[in-house]
Amino acid sequence: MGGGTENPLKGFCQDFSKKSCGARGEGWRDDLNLRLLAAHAAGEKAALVTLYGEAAEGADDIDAACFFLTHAYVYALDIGDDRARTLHARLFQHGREE
Amino acid sequence: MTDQSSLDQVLKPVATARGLPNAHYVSDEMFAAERDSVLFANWSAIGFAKDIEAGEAMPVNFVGMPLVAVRTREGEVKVFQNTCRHRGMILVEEKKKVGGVIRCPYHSWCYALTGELKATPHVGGPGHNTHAEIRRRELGLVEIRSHVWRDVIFVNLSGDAPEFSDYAAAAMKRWAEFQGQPLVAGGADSAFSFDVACNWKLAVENYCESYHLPWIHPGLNSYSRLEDHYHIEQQGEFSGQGTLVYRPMISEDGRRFPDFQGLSDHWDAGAEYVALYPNVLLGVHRDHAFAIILEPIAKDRTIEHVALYYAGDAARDPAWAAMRETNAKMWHEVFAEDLFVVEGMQKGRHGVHFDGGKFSPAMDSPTHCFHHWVAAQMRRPAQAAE
Repeated sequence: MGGGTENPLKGFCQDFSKKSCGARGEGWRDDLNLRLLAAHAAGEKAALVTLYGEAAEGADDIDAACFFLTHAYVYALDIGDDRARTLHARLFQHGREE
Repeated sequence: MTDQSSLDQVLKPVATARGLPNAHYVSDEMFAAERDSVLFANWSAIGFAKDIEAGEAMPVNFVGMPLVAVRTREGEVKVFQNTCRHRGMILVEEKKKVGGVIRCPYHSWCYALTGELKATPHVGGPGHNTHAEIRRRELGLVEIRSHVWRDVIFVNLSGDAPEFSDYAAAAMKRWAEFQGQPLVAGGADSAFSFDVACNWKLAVENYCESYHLPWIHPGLNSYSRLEDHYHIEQQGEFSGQGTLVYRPMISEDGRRFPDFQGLSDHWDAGAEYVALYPNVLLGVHRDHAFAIILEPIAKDRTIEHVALYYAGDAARDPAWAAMRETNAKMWHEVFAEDLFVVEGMQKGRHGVHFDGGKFSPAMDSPTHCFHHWVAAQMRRPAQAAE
């Protein structure tokens, strides 16, 4: 399906978002959604690395966290961002990368 | 399709041979057959190395085959099939600087500029980026055999042609004096192209021979007469013409482009123009060179990409800009003079009673050398089946 940037946190991450909202405040998920959408729309990949990293930090479910870390990692790889190394290490640590 | 007896006529000695039959110029089916047997089975030119900086990826659609030429961060030119190993998505749509990896725009599989598959996000399920059945070492980009010579990127798409250094050995030996010398592209003021309504082979055929010079290029012929030219023929590899009276361009203030270094006396007034089969036309002079890549678009459409080169600083230094512009303008005019000829031959090839043409044994042997090579390529599949 097209429209991949419709809602970056939609679907898979709904549960994650509910779990994490408490600690970060009710508006955090919606705010992050908006910032992610804006970064996608502007093609700001460095910002996407940061924002997906933030999404991962807010997750207390390892699968959800690794989902977002994966996105952060891919965009870091895409632009040759040094953070790719750290992100890879974290994914590898959780058995999600080789 | 052409029957084998027609090809046999082409394969005779020039005095008794006929040219390639009309189908080789006006048939979609033959265009496709030649794509496989002539263009893909040999070393074809797809672009100029000058057009890719380190870290850049340049897509090339070569006769329908999606390729991407890259220059690694170490400076090496590589060519890959421009197709993701996952779902077959086209990877690079426009020339671009690659920040880190080539990321497929579909599911974000990521490839290094050297071709290795670096990331397969969610391939084992959400957040799981590995799977036992996804072996990245086996899923890198499909690399196409490539070789850069005289700044031209050659590819062998079938994968089974001889090594380029063997394929073009005679051409490399012929111009060995220029080998290893700085061959610097002149930049934007020294590159241009023509979109021509002809089959790509007609551009080769016209380039090969000097017979047409006094009629089509009277300006050149004022000092470069027909009798000052000689044929160049290397059966199965290249053909063309040489001149014995090349005169380097002199500016109004008496300057000449700097020469390539250490050349023998032959090049004082010598210049050579060779079609390296199948689709690249090369010219060398003591002070500059050019390459023309023929991009076959359809049976009756070809784009000619022209690039001029100089020895060292003359290519980029603003002090030489006016002379480069004059030189580029001169060659543009010369090549433009040929357009009505190749387009006219394309029109003429619809004459159903044309038999391929009668060669002048004295003047057309470089052209016949090319026809002979094409016919031999087209015979090869049949011979393999016999």
